Amino acid sequence: MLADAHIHVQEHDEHADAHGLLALARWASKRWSPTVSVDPPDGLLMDITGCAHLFNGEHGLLASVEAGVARLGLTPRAGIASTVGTAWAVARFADREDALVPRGSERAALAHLPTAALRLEPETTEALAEVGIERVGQVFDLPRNALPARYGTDLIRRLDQALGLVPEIVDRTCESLAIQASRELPGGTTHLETIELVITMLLVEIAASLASHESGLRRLDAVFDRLDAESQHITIQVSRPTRDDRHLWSLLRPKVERLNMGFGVERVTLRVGGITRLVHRQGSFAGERAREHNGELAAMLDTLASRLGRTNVLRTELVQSHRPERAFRLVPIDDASGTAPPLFFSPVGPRPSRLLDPPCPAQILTLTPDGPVSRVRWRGHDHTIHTSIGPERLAPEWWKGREPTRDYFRVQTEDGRWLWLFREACSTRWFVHGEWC
Amino acid sequence: MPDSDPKARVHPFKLGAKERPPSVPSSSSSPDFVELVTRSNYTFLTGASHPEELFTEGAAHGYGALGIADTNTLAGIVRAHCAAKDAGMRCIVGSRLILADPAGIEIAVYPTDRAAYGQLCRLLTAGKRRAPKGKCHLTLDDVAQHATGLVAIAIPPSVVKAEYEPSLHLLRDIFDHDRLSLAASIVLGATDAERLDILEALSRRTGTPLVATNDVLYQVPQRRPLQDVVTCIRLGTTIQAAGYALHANAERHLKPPEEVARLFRARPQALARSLAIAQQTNGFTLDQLRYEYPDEVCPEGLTPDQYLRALTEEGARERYPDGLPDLIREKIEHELALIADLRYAPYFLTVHDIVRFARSRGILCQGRGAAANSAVCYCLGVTSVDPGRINLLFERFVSRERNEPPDIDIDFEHERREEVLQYIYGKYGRERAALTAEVISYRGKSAIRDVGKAMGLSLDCVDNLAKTLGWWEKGEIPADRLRELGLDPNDRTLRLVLLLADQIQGFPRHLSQHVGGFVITRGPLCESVPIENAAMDDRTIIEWDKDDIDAMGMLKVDCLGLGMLTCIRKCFELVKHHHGHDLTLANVPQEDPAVYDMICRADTIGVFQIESRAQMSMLPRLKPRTFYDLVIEVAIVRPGPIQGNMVHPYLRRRNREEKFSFPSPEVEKVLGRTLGVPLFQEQAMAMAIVAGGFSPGDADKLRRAMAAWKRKGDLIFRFGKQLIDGMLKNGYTREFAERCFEQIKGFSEYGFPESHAASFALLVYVSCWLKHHYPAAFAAALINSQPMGFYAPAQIVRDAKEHGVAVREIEVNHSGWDCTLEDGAIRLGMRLVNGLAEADADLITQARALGGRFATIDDLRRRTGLHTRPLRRLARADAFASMGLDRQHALWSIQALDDTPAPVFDDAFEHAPQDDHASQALLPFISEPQRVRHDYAATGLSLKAHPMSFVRDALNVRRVSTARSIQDQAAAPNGRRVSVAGLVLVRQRPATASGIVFYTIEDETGIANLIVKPDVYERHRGVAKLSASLCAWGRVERSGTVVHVLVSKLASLDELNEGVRSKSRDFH
Repeated sequence: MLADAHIHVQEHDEHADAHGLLALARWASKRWSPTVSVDPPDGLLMDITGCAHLFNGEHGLLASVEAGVARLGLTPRAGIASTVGTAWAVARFADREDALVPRGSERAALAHLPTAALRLEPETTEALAEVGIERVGQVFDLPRNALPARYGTDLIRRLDQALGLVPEIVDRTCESLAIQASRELPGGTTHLETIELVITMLLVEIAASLASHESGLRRLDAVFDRLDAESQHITIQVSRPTRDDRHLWSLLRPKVERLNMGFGVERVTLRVGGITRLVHRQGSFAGERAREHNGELAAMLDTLASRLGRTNVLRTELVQSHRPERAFRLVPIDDASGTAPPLFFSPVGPRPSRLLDPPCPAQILTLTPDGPVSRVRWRGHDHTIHTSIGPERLAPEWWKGREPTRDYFRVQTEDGRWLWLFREACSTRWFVHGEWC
Repeated sequence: MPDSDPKARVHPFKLGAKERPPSVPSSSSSPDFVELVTRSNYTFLTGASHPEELFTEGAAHGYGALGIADTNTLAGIVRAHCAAKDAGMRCIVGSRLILADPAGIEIAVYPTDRAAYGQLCRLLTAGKRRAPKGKCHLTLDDVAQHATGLVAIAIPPSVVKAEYEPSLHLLRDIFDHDRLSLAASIVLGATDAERLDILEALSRRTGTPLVATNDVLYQVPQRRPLQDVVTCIRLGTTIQAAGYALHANAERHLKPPEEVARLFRARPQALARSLAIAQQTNGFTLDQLRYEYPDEVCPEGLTPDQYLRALTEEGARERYPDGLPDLIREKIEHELALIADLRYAPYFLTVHDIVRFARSRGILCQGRGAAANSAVCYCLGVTSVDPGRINLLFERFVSRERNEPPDIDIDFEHERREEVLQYIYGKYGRERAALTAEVISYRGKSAIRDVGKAMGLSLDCVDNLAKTLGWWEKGEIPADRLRELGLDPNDRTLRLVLLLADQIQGFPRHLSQHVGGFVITRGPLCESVPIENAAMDDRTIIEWDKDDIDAMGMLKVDCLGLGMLTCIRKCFELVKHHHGHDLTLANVPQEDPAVYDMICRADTIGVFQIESRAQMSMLPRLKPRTFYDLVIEVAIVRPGPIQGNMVHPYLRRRNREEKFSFPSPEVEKVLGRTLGVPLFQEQAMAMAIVAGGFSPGDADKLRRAMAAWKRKGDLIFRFGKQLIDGMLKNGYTREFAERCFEQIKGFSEYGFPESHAASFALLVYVSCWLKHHYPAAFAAALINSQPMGFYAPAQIVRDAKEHGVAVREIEVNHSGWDCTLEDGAIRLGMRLVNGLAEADADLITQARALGGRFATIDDLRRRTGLHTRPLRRLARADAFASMGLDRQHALWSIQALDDTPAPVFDDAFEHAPQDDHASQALLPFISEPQRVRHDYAATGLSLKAHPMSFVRDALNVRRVSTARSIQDQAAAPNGRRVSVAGLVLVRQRPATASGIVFYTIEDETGIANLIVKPDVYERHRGVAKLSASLCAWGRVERSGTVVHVLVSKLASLDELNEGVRSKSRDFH
């Protein structure tokens, strides 16, 4: 119904939402209060104890949060109260002017809000509505002992939380997620060896920390705070999760060597990104070597990539296409979602080991029309043909565009070379498309 | 019933083209090759050509025969057979068997005689019956057991490995050298030559000669894209991702024989082998299938004709206790003679047997159509339409010329039809009786959706595209319309999607079961056609659809379900129980003027057929006074007569506003009873015969052409020319002839036969009679038969109240599952409670019958053992009033119960919450509008008040009229601008009304009818489509007593009526 011409429809991406909310929490924690936790799917909880004076009081804080979030292109609804429950309720259900609840007025503020403001399961809200109870105030009117049997203890808990009768605290979502290590260098240093030493020490710390979480990293940010100017950043990425400090150092080192230290670095911080679960593995007798080998290959690829740039180290990947030039493609190594080793043969038929791109025009001599090829003139040389196998007819991928059908021939020249020729249907043009070397 | 589906692909049999004798290939042009291994699109989502296309192409290439071997099926073989005849070719019947055990064996088999064909059908039946619907599980043992008389071609896998050789040896153990060949194809693959060498070696080692074939998937190379697309649909992938699942080139088409001969010039013996196999299969064609009627319906010692006569006479004595009128006696004799002549007695006996069973179980039934309204069927009890009341010529249904079985549809109560079906299975066994298949084909939306998805369009893009369907069917979608939907009309993929979706139209997708067409045979049915499992348990279906069995001349009895019969039977029972009258369809008093008065007032909510908007607005104009008027009423408000522009001439003539005469006495005989306007399909045929000089057989082909698809309707024009020429020759004016043809063409999509109309008219009359004389019983029975008809229980209840019937609430101490009668009032049944299971309601009525009324909820819970969930549902329906509990308080009490079933007979059950009375007082007050809203939510109706009555004050301020005031000529004269508001009862968008949508809305005073034109609908799309209650502004349109509002503006009232959802019934 809504999917009219001008509405863009996008599938709901829960994961991206959660990610965005977390980013928002981090961002908020740097502005208004260090204690921010996410309240999925759409909320942030902020402990503003002792923060309001920085914004000329709670009204100022509220206005600042609303303006700040609105600048991001989001539509905020905010509320302030002395309990999490009441703040949650007024943010979502109260008018803007009632969004700030003074301590002690929770009951009054909640009374006219709908029961959904109590953070109840939908079934509970429905059950209340069935007997005509639609506002929180009507719940207050009921005898407390009549509630648990009908609506479970959850209703009581939520009521008490909202009124501050039982405590509820705001977690610090953002901090708990980050693994980082930092070392101050009082007075600053421009001495490279010192910095290298510090980094290796920090890497050991981080590796230990990752190990204790059974995790590995995919990205590492190194931040160098300088005495004189903005801090310098170095970021490295790895193709498979790791917590090997030596490997990480081998990747960091070439970049650290080129670091501009200015008047001196006073603090080095390493932050871990892309934390992925990486379980301790017990070495097995048979599998050990293969894994080691893989590890070495990965280490080598990482080294190559960090020197040449990640987009410049490529590998081939087979593509299921009947068009020979589309039957493979090159992808960056860290696009390695699939870890299958590259195949070097095609399942559809014999394919040359070297493919010419684009196909190279050639002149052909046949003894009889439509008969087998007897001579090929290609790159200025004449080749007499001994053997000719074919045709193998490959029709175009019609959904991609208009292309002629090709008839392929495997031919052997008198000096023993095997060439792959094709003729375009509906024309007499011939091409050499490859060679078996 | 006629083919009401305009998009179905026409069966070649229906095209009625002149059969050409199989061309005897002259020696000079005799091809050296016959293609044997061809798959049509009945190998669903693999083959990419209709059987007709294959044979047309085959004939063009000079083939004399073509082998059709669809995978594990014979579903397309009748079409292929008919197409072959049309093309002057022979269809070599075959099937491609893909074995499940051992896997990897694929053979095409061809019967050499009738017995072998029976074996093949048995083989497929065995494989299908043990597999789930649409699948076939065959083993080599099955093949071995049914191999007699079959010749086989082994089809090797695409890559032939060493493992294949033992498989071939296994096959050779079953088929000897003469009967097994090895398929060799040259499809310009990379390794054709190597593959052929391997196959040749295999052939030599196993003694299996090679046979050349192209393993055809489509008739021309241009079909490769479509074949790729159906492959993607089958595999659930997209064209971009399908990769090697697609073929590399377009070589799998039907190549000219010379071309195949050239490819196989090095192996002439493989070509010769194809001719030899074709020769071997010469002994069988589908024409050898002979249909035979079942014979056990006749007791031993009597011929079917004797027995039919005995039954007819016995029935006649019952029907006419005062002696048989001469006219009827003549009719019966005439019919019996014709039946004997055509050997149709077993068919009538079969139908009689089914009807007798239904009657013995008290299942109400009524035959209709074709032969059903004959005097014989009246005596047999197949129909209750008195042949004296209606003048139908028997020949019209059972023609001497058409050598095909008469067609009788029997309607049964929809709730009990299954009993009848299982009786038939039980009586004849699953080897001899099965339901007809229905071929589900691609059309419109499904074509666009599947092709769009296969082409990789996003889902919302596909949905948007599907909206252009209306345009697309006309052939071209305007670029603007596409742009409006956010699609680029120049996009290549989009154009490909439209092109391919057009090609896939009419492609069969899978088999489903026909609504009720039973095929019953004397011998095993599974030797004529494979039988498979249907999606529903306990159903088995044949692989052929109704056109196929028509073409094969097989008996079909349609056993259909009809809601109104359920309602009438339930009403009869209520009348018998409460009033002591024993009514049947046949003994309801005829031609009751009071009933016709009611009909003329269009006071027909809930009755059969004439309750729809269109019918109701026609009634005051047509003013039916006799049974035959009802027959016309049923037939006239149909798309056929409406599109043929027959309604208004008929009404004018009937109201003596227009003079008319007949060009000849013959025409008067045909059209006299409908005042010169052809209204029935039979009349169109009769006109063709008496005026156009058609033979009855040709007239029947005309009927088939009328039923066929309008879009591919060049056929009907061919008949049109024949008809007009014939009429000119017989001295009619060109103008008359052309008008006749135009009218006949109007039937082409939805013509309605008089024979069906007559049977329906009887049910119309009976339901009206019941509604008039027993309004309470009728309304109760109608609600008890839901879902059916146009109106929801709320309107049925309201209508009953307007007829002075008291209606009482649902109540646990009084209601049963069904609605019942209490001293002339209706007591609503618990079936109206949303979400309540019948079994739970039964527990309540049983406990009540055992121990008397329930005092409290606890009492009820203890005695029934019900969970709290059904109790809640009952409480929501406000069904505890007799305990002094309204909805709120009942729910409050039930919420306090824990959710386990109460222990039955637990004396110590005492922990009922003691706080109830104290706390109840503290619950908030619930207003009347809210209570009504809750009634609607829980039961779909309210006896307290109409929801619109609560917003009346607000509406008065806005000068919105009531529905009743609009009916008033003085208050709302023609053309007056008015506004009216109400709950939406029915939205209807008839296909014939070019986008106009008809609304029926209801307020507390009555019903108002709205007409919403397409531009208004588009402007208010959201409101028009979704609102449960709305306000409409527009002009009054009066025509006699019929009042409409032609709407110019709509607004939703859902916010005022929050929560009220009358379940509007939307018909498109």
